Amino acid sequence: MGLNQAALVQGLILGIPYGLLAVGLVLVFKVSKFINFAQGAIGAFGGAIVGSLTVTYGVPYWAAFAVGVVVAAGIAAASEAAIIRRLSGQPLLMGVVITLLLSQLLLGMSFVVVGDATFGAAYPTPSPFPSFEVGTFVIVPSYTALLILGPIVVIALALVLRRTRYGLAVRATASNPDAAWVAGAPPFQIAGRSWAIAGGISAFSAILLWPTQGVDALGTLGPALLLRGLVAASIARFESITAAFFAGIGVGVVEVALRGSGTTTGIADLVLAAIALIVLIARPPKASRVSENDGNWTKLSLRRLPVRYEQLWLGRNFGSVMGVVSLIFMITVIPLFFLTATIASTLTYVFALAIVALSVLIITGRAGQLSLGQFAIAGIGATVSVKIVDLSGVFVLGPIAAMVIGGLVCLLLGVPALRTKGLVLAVTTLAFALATRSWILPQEWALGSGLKPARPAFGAFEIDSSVRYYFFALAILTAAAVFTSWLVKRNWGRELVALRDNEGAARALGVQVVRRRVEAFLVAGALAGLGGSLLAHSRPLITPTDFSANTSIDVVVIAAVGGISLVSGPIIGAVLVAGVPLLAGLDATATTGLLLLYLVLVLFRPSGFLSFLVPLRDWWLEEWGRTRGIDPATVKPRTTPQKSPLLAFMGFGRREEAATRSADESILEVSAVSKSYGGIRAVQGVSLTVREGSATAIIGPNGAGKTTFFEMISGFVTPDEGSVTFHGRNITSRSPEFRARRGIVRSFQNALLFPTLTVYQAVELSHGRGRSAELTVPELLELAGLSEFADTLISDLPTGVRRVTELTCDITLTPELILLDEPSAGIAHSEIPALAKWIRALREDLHMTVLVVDHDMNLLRSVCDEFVAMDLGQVIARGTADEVAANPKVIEAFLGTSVAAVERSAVATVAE
Amino acid sequence: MSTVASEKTELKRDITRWNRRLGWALIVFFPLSYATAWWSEQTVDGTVLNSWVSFFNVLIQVVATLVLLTHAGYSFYVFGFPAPRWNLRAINGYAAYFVLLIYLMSQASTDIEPQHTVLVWISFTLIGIHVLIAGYLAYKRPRRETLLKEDFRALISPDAQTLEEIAQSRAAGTAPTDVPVLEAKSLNVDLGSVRVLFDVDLHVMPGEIVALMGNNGAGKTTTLRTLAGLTPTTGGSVLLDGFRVTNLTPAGRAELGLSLIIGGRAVFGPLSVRENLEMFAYRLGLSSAELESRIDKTKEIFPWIADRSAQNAATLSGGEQQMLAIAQALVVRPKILLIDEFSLGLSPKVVGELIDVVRTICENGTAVLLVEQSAAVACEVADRVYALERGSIVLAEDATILAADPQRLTNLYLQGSATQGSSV
Repeated sequence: MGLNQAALVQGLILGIPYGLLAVGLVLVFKVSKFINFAQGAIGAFGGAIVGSLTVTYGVPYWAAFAVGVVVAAGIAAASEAAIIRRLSGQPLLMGVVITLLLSQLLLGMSFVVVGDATFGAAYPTPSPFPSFEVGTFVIVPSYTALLILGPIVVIALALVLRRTRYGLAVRATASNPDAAWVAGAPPFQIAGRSWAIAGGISAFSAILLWPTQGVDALGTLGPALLLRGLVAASIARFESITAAFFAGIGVGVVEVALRGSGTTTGIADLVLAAIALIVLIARPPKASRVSENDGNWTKLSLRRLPVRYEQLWLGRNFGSVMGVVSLIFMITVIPLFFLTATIASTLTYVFALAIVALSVLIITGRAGQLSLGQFAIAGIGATVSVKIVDLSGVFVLGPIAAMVIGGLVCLLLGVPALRTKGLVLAVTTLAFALATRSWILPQEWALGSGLKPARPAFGAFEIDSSVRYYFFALAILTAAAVFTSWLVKRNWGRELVALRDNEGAARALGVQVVRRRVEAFLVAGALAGLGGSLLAHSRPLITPTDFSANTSIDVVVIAAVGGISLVSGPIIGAVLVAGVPLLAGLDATATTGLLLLYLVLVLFRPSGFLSFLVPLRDWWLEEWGRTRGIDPATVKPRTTPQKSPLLAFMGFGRREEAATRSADESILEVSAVSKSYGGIRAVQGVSLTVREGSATAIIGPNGAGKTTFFEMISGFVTPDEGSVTFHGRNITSRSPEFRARRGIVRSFQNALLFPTLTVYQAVELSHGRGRSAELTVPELLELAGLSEFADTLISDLPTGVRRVTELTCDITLTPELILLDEPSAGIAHSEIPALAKWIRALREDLHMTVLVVDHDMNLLRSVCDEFVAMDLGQVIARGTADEVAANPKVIEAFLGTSVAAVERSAVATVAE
Repeated sequence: MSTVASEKTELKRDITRWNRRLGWALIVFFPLSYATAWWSEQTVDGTVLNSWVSFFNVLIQVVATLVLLTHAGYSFYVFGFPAPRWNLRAINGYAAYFVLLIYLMSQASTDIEPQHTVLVWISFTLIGIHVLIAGYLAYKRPRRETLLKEDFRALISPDAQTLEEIAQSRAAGTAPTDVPVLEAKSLNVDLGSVRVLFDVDLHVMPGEIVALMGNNGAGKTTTLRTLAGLTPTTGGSVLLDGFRVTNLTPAGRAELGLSLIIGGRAVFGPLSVRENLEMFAYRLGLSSAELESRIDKTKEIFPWIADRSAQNAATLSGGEQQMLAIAQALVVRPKILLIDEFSLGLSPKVVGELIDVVRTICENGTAVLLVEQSAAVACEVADRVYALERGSIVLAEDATILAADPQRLTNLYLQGSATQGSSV
């Protein structure tokens, strides 16, 4: 690694644009808690304007400079207003997709706008700045400008943040947006200004960087630049502006050093990807909204098929019928009229993309993991497939190997990120996509400078033409689609959705979080590998350029544009995003226009293009139903109950007493557990014995430690000291899903459950893992009074019904011990007695043991016989309700002590 | 009419409204697409201008085609086939999708004359008829204030209109007198699909200290947030000085003299103590001299602020942070100060100091509404007390009366009701 003085200076200078980009990213993240993937592209567009104005229209350089910066600032502020504000309440996926789409759009528009000033020499340079040499490295005027003006911009920004009123508001909004708003600084206003500043800075650096770029100026201003900015911002933990700037310079130095060592430029991407991964996992950005599952996925889901139509065969199988019809269309109509060799290979490409988009549906749509590297996995799959077929001579092994390796790579990529959240995975997979294209694939043992894939051959039958390959590709796509559809409709898919919607609740019902996610990664990786393999063998030659990072981004866009909730979505998306431009022969300008359209589509219809087809489906079914005698009036499922299921509850009916159970045997022993957070002891040496068939209540004022204690029993918190034993078995550090499978279930205070599932699906989820499936799901729903809600989405239910649903899911697992966390939360006053009846029935009819934490004494008195009062992390009283309520320590804990009383007792103590 | 059918009519009405807008959009887009096409032919191929014009031409054509398809499609959906009733609207609707059909045919037959010219003429005639009928129908339709103007205004400055009205009312002397400085009337609040506040009524008179008690999850913090504007209401209203402010943002309510101390995150951690005070007074836009003098006054009451002016607020103890937050009232001088989690996690000594400060603030003209877990502290500091349980007010009483009857509170917390002692 030769890092002489010239190289060092070069690295420093190169690092300045990275640092500036990082500064912009950090500023935006501070105010909006969001990573703007279009940051670099906004700057590039400003740069394009400057080039166009100066070279084509003869505007003076510095005037054009000002215009470029202002335009970029304006676009950035407009994006904040139009995009980010609309995204509250939607999952992070949409924000990432939209900013990525915006980035592609802006880069495309830059290409259109820049005209003759496309690259390096043609682009204007800042005139008054001199040029000089350091060793072998020439510092051209624009570099000098960067060297001088770059730090000045950063210092100016830092001063603005520290000294001005506006800067104060920015820092305040970043740390406490609610308090800032209440003080008179509306967060959106502050955010808009911050985005504008970030956009301006980005343009500044793009304008000065451009003259030094080669022929593919716009290419280098795309994802590669973004990655470097992201790495620098990550090193600064998205917190400090100055740290981000220096980190950017560091990145520049590292890049030059790696370049100088003689290997290809690609290794820089690989090293940066590794740095990004390590930094983001070790020191993730501190922010509340970094979790990918913040925001409700219901906005991305489609309106469900109205239930009455399930009587119709067409209603139940609408998707399959449509699939078959389209397949017939693709097999007969297309080949008869349209299938030339070019169109066949274009459609093959579209099919391959569709398969990779299906992998996005699984990994992002169902598992909720934001992956931007699926097409890179496809590239690896392609390489493996070609090599294996070459080596073995058997074609079938190629795709199979591609699927296996693809699955493993996806797993490797996903596992370290399993413990991190949302945006982190997006950044690391983007880095991976870049590194794959620039370093992994060009290696000699991979694609090198190109490989010639073998044509598929099954025995004597060889697929030697594009047209034949089209049918082959269609067959593979059909198989992949059918498989994916089957997979997501089963309990497997539902469990993934449950994990995505509400991981805690899913684990409490016994869903194995790690295993499911690993399986999701394997399947998604396999699909991506298959797509890559399919693509590879359709071409006479494949090179690393076929698998650019841009296409990885496109694949996610495809899934979002088509619609991520149904299997047909990615396929439609592939046709719209990739197929239409290619088939219609659109040029770059027109493709960019199309991108703009798709951006608007995704902005207004988060559930994708499918949302336009749903009314059509409903209309057809209505007409068809009418001919079959179904009155449309009976179609919609009811959401508001005639009578609340709680009030209508009649009891479960006497159930068989389990012969082996002996009453009064202690089933749960909690022994002197303690837990501290920071320096605060939340729970101190608390013990509890729970006997079979008993009902225990834990009461206490706020901050008493009840919740922490409860969580130690349910498995979401591990005690620092002490133990939890269930039937003599130590379960202290066991996960909630383990406990659920052994017979301990819990309910949650907010009863959020799984918003995108229906009541039926949620109960079915538990039913699949019940220890004894005596009753079917419809019978369970009948018992709980939920039959009329069977097909209502949980997010559409009123709270009382949700609570009943949650409890029904819990009892479906036929547990021994049921833990209830504030079950009365959100229940109307009039329904409390009915809730009490329900909980009593758990004991009397279903022979369960109950442990309740709550505040509502009405409820607790009528359900529980043993009371435990806690305060300040310790137990202060045990006994019956009356004993505990009369205990003066308990009264004091609940009512508190007035200051005067404390002073009096202090005086009294002194006086003694 | 069953709910399903009426929902469908509602949907059709929405679609029709949008369809009309699409129609007017087409009137703009189609000529524009022809204009840009002509312009791009006039400019020289390969120049930047040509690039721009071609780009816009393509964009407009694509959009126009899509709008046309949607317009025709919606018309088809609304009117069905055959139409239930043959009136002018129905005829217009059919004209819409026949226009599409003939237009498409004319595009497909550009090489076949004279069919092409004939089709073009027919489509133009139909378009003309369609536009005329649509215009006539629009003219006959009762005028309705477009929401666009209001929406635009709301985007720029959502509070402006309301604040203006209030200022005018004050200037004209028609402001209500003898009203609570803060009042909540029948407040109903939903968080997601969960109702958390049911018909909450409370008020704070000028010069009063009012406490809001209740168990965890009763809705105390939600009440304060709703009063401050951070959480939207589903029903009911919030009034400041008798004026309805339910549609004002928190910044707007700050203008009218409301300040909120948020529970658990009352201060700006990374900012210094002095910057915190500066930020609390953000909306006042005080001159540095005025700001200095007010901060000096604060330092008189809290000497430690002078010592630790430059220290980051995050490094202060819990009690000091709470004190700093309450100290903002001395700088900002709001009409009403809302305090969440008044004494949570604080030692009795600190609570005593806080109580003194609150009394001072109140004497200086700021009414106070504070949320307090401990009933004893609440009765000590407040003039009046409310108790919230499960989102409803279950108790509204003078503090002194309540303090003299501790059994009532015990009933509330340990029997399950403020008024009844019996269980279910």
